[in-house]
Amino acid sequence: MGAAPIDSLSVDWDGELLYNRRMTELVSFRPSRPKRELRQAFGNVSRKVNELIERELARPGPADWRDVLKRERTIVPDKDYAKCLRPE
Amino acid sequence: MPAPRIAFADANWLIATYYETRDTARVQEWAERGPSTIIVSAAVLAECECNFWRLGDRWPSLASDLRAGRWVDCAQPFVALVSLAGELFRRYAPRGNAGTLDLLHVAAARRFGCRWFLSFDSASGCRAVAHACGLTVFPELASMDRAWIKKFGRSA
Repeated sequence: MGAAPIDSLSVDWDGELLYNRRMTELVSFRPSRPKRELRQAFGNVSRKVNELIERELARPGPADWRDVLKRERTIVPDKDYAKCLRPE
Repeated sequence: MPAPRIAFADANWLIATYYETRDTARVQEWAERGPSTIIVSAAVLAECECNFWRLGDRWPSLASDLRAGRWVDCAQPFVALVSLAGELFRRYAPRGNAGTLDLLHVAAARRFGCRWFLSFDSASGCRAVAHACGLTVFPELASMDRAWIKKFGRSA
């Protein structure tokens, strides 16, 4: 982890210098391929890694059986349901 | 976050999930308690296929939901289930009215290591058999289930 970088500098109405910092953390990782190959393939490697992370996190979770209960259901009279409760 | 409950669903549970029956409110009650993984077997699906067509046209929905992973097939072939249920047939067939498929469901639930058994079948003694086999039954045991359990105890 390193210090948060200064994203941009600007001057306010009173002539004061404003430092705009991004909330950025640095994470190091050991790539299984050479750094040069990653740069050739993706250009900005950080941007590509973030894109992959965001894509993974946006994927829908596992299917939930409770979704079925949100659907419309046909009403079954007791006499018909009783036929399904007979021992088979 | 609590671990999801692992439960085995009897065919009548799935009927009350896909169709509006007098028991559907209990399915909703279970659902509101939090996430759960619901296990089914080849025997449950066979029973559902027949009964779903008896009641309407929801069978393709269930088959599709199974493929989508909403239900988990315990992956025991029918012949293997019959073999697993041998002891239950011997023990409970003379003592109750539970059907062949009911006992296959209980055997599958035990084999898969489910803690819960979801069923509305009190009349045949199926829920009582599940309880006697160490499974926790939902909805909670009723007087009819307790009568069966008492009967099993007397004749054991």
